[in-house]
Amino acid sequence: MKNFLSANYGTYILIWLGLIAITLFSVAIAGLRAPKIITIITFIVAVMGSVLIANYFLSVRADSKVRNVFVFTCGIVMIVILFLLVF
Amino acid sequence: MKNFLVKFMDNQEVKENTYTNSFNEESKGSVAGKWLFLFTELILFGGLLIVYAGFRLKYRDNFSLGVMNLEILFGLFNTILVLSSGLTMVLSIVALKKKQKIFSLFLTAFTSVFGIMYLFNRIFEWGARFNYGLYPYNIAPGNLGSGEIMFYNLFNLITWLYTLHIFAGLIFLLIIFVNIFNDKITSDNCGRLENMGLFWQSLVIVWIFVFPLLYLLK
Repeated sequence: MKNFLSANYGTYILIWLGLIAITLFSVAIAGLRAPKIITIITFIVAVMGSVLIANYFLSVRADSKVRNVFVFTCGIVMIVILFLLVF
Repeated sequence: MKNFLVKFMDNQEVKENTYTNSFNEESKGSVAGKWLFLFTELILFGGLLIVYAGFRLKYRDNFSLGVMNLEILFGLFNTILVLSSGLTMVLSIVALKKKQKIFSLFLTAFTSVFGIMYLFNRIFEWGARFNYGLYPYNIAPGNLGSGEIMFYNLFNLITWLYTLHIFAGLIFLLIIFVNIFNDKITSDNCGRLENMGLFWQSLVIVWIFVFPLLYLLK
């Protein structure tokens, strides 16, 4: 983890604000009467949130590449299975 | 295979912070251990969510009814708490790296406060449903159909397990807090705090998927 958590406080606060904003957005659209669109958008929002956390809070990007591929592959497989079952 | 494993275990942090061979081995073990733990968490919660989604496919109408009966505000408030605790957790590591010990202690304490607030909010949410007989191991609450019973059982299982993780995290946070206070964890030696951060952030990522699946997708 070469550059582990090297950003300023402000960067993390901005990421947190972004996460809160996309959460509120997904709650807002949950009331729509379009289940398939809601499912797609909700999953996109969840993936966006987890990528932001993995990259900034968890600092996966600063870790070894092979391990990043492992995490990415496992995550994608889980998300695709979940999405296919829910959609 | 051996080369692959060596590459997997290889880490810049280990290379930069290594002073002796024994320390190198210990660091490699620590790094491999924390990633192994992360994968087990992924499999545990990922598996449960897949089971939930599978039964949702079978009992679509019942699960939809179950989701609509949940208070979305409880879920939203919990999400904000979990995300906020993720922020304070990462900031406490950054603060310690910048040799701001008091600020790091303050942020670690705040992470605990968010975790405790999550527990209280969870208790209120469960309490609201206990009156209707909707609690774990009550296999025939009221006049509910098999699909709704399945929904509430899975909901309880996932949320109880998650809450147990938060509770365990709070105990670890207390230990970390004491260690930072006593200078056993410092800016040069904050591996345990980083591992704690990894555990906590993995919980945040899990909640990011639990929340929409349990509360939003009707």
